[in-house]
Amino acid sequence: MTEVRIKDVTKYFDDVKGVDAANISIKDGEFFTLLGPSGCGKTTLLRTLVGFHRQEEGDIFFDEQCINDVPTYQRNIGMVFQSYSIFPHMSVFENVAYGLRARKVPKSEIKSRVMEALEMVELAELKDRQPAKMSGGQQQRIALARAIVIHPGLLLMDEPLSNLDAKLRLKMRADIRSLQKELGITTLYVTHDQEEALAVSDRIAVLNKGKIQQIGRPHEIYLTPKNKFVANFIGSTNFLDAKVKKVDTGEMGVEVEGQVYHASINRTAVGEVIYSVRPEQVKINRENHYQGPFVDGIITSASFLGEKAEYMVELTRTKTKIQVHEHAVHYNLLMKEGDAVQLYLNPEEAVIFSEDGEEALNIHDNDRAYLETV
Amino acid sequence: MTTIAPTLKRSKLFRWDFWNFVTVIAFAVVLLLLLYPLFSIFLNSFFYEGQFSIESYQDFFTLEYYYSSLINSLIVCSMATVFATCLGVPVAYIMTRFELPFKSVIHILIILTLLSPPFIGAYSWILMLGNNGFITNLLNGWGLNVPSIYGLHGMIWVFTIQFYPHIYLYVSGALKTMDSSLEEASSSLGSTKWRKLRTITLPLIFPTLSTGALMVFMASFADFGTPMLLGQGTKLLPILAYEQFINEMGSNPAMASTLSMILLAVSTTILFLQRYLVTRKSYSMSSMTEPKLIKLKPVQKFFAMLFIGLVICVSMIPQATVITTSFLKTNGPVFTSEFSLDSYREVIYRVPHAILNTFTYSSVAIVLMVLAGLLLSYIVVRRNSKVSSLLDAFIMIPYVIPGTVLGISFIIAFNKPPIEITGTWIILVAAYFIRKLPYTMRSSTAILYQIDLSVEEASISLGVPPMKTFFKTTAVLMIPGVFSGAILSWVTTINELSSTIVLYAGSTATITVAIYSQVFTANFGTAAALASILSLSTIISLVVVSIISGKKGIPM
Repeated sequence: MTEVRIKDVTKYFDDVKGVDAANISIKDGEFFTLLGPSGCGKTTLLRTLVGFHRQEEGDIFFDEQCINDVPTYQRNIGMVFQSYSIFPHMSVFENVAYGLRARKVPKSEIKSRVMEALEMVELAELKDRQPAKMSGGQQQRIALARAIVIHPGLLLMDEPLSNLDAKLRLKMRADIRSLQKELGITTLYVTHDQEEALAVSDRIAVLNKGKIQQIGRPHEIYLTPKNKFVANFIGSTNFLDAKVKKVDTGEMGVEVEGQVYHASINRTAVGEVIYSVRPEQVKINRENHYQGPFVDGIITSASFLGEKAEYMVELTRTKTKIQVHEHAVHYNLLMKEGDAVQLYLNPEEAVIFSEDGEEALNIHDNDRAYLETV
Repeated sequence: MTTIAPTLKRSKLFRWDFWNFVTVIAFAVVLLLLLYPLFSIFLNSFFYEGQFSIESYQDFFTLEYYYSSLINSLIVCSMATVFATCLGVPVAYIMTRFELPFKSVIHILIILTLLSPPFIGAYSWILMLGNNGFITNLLNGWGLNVPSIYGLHGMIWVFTIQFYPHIYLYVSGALKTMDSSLEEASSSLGSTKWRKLRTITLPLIFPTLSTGALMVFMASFADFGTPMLLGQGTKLLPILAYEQFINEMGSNPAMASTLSMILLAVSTTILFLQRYLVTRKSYSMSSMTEPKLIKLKPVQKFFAMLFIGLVICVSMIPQATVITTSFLKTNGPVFTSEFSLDSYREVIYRVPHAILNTFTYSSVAIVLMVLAGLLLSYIVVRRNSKVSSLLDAFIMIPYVIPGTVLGISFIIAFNKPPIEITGTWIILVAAYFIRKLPYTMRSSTAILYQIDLSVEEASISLGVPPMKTFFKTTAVLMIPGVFSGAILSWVTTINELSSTIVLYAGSTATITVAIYSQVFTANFGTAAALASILSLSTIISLVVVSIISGKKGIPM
């Protein structure tokens, strides 16, 4: 198995940087995901790793070996494509055996290894079928078997689930995850689906416009986004205009909707800021459950979704509309359109961004807890 | 993505790989077999007895003997195009819109008509309606005086019968992909059937129809055998060019070159004219709802079948005549009604090498074409760049070069050092290769566009080097597509006359040349036997390929 180091890698398309000075280290056996909107450079980076693209700047290492000049076919990688890319003129067995034949593996060993791989993806009994007419899910399983059978140092997956229907996608992603853990293959996974990324990854790199925005474990990226883009791209959030009123040692007073919240400070700043608070982090105050301060609003729409209730609230002072989610609420506490509410914009969970959205200014308790562990 | 100024650190990666190598070879071949001959003939048209002169061009435009041939050509080809359209459109309409029996058989017969060489058609019409044709004799016997087949009207007739399948194939393709809801919309807005046809259907199929018409015009314009056999003094442009070039009374290469240039100029002009007309009236149609077949009332069905049957009969008559007469005993140039295999014995005795030549030359050429089709289409499709689209454009040039012109240009270019191959088999194979490659190229590129690039990437990622990957994956997947074009290349190569007639030497004569000379020396029996052998080969080739390609019908 392999450790991957991507060092200052830049890939140009004409004069445009498809990937801009990327730095990533993927640990041995880690499930690492590149996440970002389409055109963010995640597939470009993956293809550079495969060797379909050659970076103009920077180096890529597999363990200690720099592989810049190693052609794709000698990199010992397994790749799973979005479009399956099954060889339509070969049987299921031959598809999976393809890479082993290229490696001149003895016949008897080919047979046992192919069957073992097919069993892992639950396709052993279909080994003699022609894949062309098989379902998308089955074809993607063949592709997976074909990639892992060669015992690759690195497994690369380029949006492998995006052509499957929703239900199959859930099953496949669980299967991929458990197979990866079982085999311990270092894996680089590319997706634009943040939920998928959060579900399968050990760590995630969020990309935008060719640049890595943040690298972290799923909960870190969700709870402590480093900038406005990450906060907005992962999950949903409310951005409120705010102002830093006063700065004390380790703390700042931020005025949002006329109320001042106190947040722990990471970097000193004054003036305009952005107060980002996720829908489930906004608390509806009933019977003075919270201490405040509170922001007043009117519910403009309410929907009940079973495990949670979703509200759209218009804030009284600035007429800004924000989303509020409440989980596991007793039915007689459900709100309806037109109800007046008091909201607590929990500063312990909210993230405060600089005015340009490039930087997070506050520090969380869970950051502290994390920093203490490392 | 952010735009930045290019940095010096960036290195343009140019790897000297296999495909660059193939590209260089391809350009070398294009240069040698296409551009060099064309340039030679162009230069030659301005040199009269070693002196620069534009006399040939002056002569062409002032002397009736020369310019009348162009007028004749234009008359014959336009009329043939008009008539072929009038015949092809109704056949296509009936075949695509109505429920009729034996459709696939009819379809195959129509394609067969197209693929048999026109001069065999011309020749068999001579057998029927010539000065001594059996229908002529029959009607004369009844005291009826019929006009002979010789002359411009005969050529128009033969070309119409021979080339209407072009119109049929293109138009029925367009009618099949046309969204029938457009016609339904027209009806719902209160249009009568005729108005619907005039205001919706015909305008929508116009671009495709005009492409078919272009094919008819080009094919007639470039054809050599038919006007040669049916001309009898009335000369079309290709014939005049040929005669000026190969003349016992002292040839005139400058004039032959000039005539060739005129031929090229006309066909290129026509091509661009059609493109110009089409680009402004082209609609992209996607068939959302495929047109439903209309059930006809018995009477209507009878007349529809009668019409189709008549067209098929008339277009199959030449084949039937040739095959029948090949089994008749001859008495000099006259067929008797007695059955015999003499004509075939004669063939084996007199021109066995012609049969051998046709098949060996065509086989060598087709192998080269398949290989080139595989590799070059890959360059054109997968290595999409200015260089590759230039290559694509060059390879398609032979579409507009009449065979006679290519033949003359080859002789002018290759009868002197550095390359002297005139009179050898190599020059024939080279001519076939460059002329018929476009068919194979077209179908190869078409199928390659449908093959996902990531299939190759998968193979490479599994450890197979790019070159080997191509032959193990993409090349295998391309085979059916390459073959469907290669069969057209093959069939038209074995039936090739117009450049062979210029390029052959005694020992390299092919079946078509042999038929041609047998007809001219009035050995009608041997000619018929040779023509039958050729027709049979064509049919067998088509059948074999349609079986191989998985009963998808004859690929067109």
